[in-house]
Amino acid sequence: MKIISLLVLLLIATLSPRQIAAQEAFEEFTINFTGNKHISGGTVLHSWEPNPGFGFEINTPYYFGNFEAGYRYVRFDELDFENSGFHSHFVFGGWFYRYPASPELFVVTGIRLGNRFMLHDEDKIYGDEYRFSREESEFGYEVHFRIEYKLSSVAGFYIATSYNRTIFNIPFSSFVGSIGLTATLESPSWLKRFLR
Amino acid sequence: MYSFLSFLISLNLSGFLQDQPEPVKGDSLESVFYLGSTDLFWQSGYQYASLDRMSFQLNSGRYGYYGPQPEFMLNDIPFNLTFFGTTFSQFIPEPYSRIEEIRVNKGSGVYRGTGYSSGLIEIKPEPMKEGLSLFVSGQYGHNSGEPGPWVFDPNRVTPNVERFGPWVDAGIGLKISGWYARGTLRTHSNKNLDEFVQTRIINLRELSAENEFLSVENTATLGLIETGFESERMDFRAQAMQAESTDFLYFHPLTREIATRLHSDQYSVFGRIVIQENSGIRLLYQYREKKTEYRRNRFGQSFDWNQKKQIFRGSYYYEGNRASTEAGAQNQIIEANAPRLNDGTFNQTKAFVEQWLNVNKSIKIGTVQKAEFKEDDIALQSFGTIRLKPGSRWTTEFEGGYSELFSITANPIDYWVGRGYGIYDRLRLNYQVPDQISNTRKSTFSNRHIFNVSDQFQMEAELEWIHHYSINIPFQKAQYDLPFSTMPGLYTLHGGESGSRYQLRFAANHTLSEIFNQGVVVWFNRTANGNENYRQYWRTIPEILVQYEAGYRPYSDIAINLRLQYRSETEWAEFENLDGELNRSFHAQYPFKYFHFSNRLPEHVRLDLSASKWFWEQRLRLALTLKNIFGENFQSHPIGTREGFGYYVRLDMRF
Repeated sequence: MKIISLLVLLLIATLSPRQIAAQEAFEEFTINFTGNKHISGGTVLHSWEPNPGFGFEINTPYYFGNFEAGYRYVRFDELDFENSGFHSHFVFGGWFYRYPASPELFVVTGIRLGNRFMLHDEDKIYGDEYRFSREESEFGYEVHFRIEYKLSSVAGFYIATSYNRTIFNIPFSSFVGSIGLTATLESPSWLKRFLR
Repeated sequence: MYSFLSFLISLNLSGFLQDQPEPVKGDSLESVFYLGSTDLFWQSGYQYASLDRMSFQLNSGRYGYYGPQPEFMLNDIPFNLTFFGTTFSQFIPEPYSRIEEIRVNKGSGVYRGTGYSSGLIEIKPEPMKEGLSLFVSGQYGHNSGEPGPWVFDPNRVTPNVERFGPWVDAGIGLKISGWYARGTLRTHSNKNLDEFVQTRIINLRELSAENEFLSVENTATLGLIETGFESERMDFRAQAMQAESTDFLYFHPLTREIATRLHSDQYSVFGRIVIQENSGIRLLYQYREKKTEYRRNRFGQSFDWNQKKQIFRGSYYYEGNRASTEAGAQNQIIEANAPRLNDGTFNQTKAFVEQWLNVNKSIKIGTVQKAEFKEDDIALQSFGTIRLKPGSRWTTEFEGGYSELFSITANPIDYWVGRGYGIYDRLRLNYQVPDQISNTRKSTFSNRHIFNVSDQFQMEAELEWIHHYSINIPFQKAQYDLPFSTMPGLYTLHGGESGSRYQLRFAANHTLSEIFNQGVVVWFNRTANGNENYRQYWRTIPEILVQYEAGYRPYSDIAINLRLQYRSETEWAEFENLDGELNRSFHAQYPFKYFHFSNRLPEHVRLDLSASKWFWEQRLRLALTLKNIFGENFQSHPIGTREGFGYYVRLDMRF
């Protein structure tokens, strides 16, 4: 967590007040549909193989930066241990800052905090005595970098990479690559009211 | 660091603030954000030791962890969270999401008709709004280090450990003019299986004869209903509360937990009648019942305890411009039932008076006098205060007094054993307890300075001297045992110990702007004189405690709170025999870990970070706390859970 604290401070410290433009909060919202693939990872990938996954995200501008919430699903098949495959559901909230490189091109950096829920295929029973739940969950954080291109005022796409670390007893670390389609819409008044 | 803060504050450009909704009352930067019991006790200034983060032994600085625990108060009605010397936060009847602030009265005094002897913490809830109101609050979290997928390696088995939740609080209220009714329901679950305690807890719940491991989860439920009306002439409240918890109660004379079901019922009627504009009377009738039931455990241990109390209280108050007073009396009928207990029914009466007089603009004096009567015994408490205002920005206060507590208040377990309660024999304890337990007597003297340097900056410094003429110190020299952590040794109540201590407190509060404030409190305390029993008892309390807190509220819908704490090393002589001995994780667990007990709890720094965001014009709030971000393992008790990094998430809804 020291790393994450430093990263957040670094991220904010790189922004000078001059760069920060006041913006209307919650005036629009963007929905992303993403596909993802694990590029590399820690020891967990020695025994479980991740399949391509999918996810969706929703974000909206805040007075400073943007807030987002999202979900990412990946199925991990077992390589070593029978019936140990699991479904991974990462639910997160985050904040990011979007640097305009040009009117169409944006460089985005952000941080996400969330929980990885894991649902194994079966309960584990050990020695006929101990039954351990097949549901497991743990806090995870993610540093996110992506390049967005706006095709129009509504549509766009992006390519992204994320470093995710879920702090299980043996931490679950991985780099995830993803591509996404984005749709930006004006926030209806009820949504703006809700977000405020 | 300053430039970074300046940068953060500079973000509050006027243009950013446009179109933001106004915060609701009480939701300002000054209001405190509570996500759990440790947040509550952080604000209270009480130090604590806890084995499970849910139940606490609290120290106000005057009696130590094994001394009397504070009373609590909600809407003028007092309640008590203590079972056998341990305070159970699960029984606080107001959800944390609804607590606006707390008021702490330490020591002895009178507050809103309640004469307290060992501290009083008032819970101030968010005010009810007119008409119908609803709230629901859900919370979940756990510590880091969950097993993850490795549970599926047949040679690498580990239990699913450590859960704080699900916690769900819900309530409904109706307020029409001065009349109101409200109901609250709380249900909390937690699984206390930190690797440091899991072997002991799992083994306590193992029924070896039946080859069965019972669930180790704790679940608490609480229901409260209250109705009343408030007017200029009269206030009336009727309140009923029932709570139960399937729990592990740390019983100090045994030096470990006993699996127990706790029950607490309380029914109260309170009235305030205004006689004249600034005077009136307060009346209270309260029925309390606390009992324990058997929860299956390996040793078949059970408290089998049932205590009923009826409290009748009346007081008169006057609040004038120059003088104020509150005087009253309370009678309580105590009826206790437990194995071998003789004559568990008796009366305890107290009379109290508190007076304040503004001599002139610069001098204010006050006194508190209390007398408690039980059977043929009497205990007196007397305090005097002089408050001087030498300058417009400086206030200084001198306070001194004497207090005496009956053993039923200061050493309740030993008191009841003295009346025949056979719990020590049931637990097969070897013990040495005096036939007659003397009253706990002490005097205190303090000097406090308050400097209002400016509207944005306040400082406070206080030196308190405490002399115990007689304090009874429980001592259990625990024996080492691998499967259960401890086996009890000889339990002794060191009667009539004496000694002196001093405590220095320094506090500063700085409100930089409407969006940022910060505060720091430093406590330093030390034993000045006393024998080894006395000194070693107080070595369980950290000599130095530093708490820094900063609140940052850049916009009206978001708040960020940072808390930093330093706590110096403590030493627990009772666990000397465990020092350096082996501890280990659950026997079939992967990764299997060996570690060691220590009776010295090292100094540590912890950093907690909270963030909350309101939605729907402050009807919904999402809050996240990352606790102990540095991940530095620490304990507040030698056989208690070891804190690492953890988190809580909470969603509040109010309509």
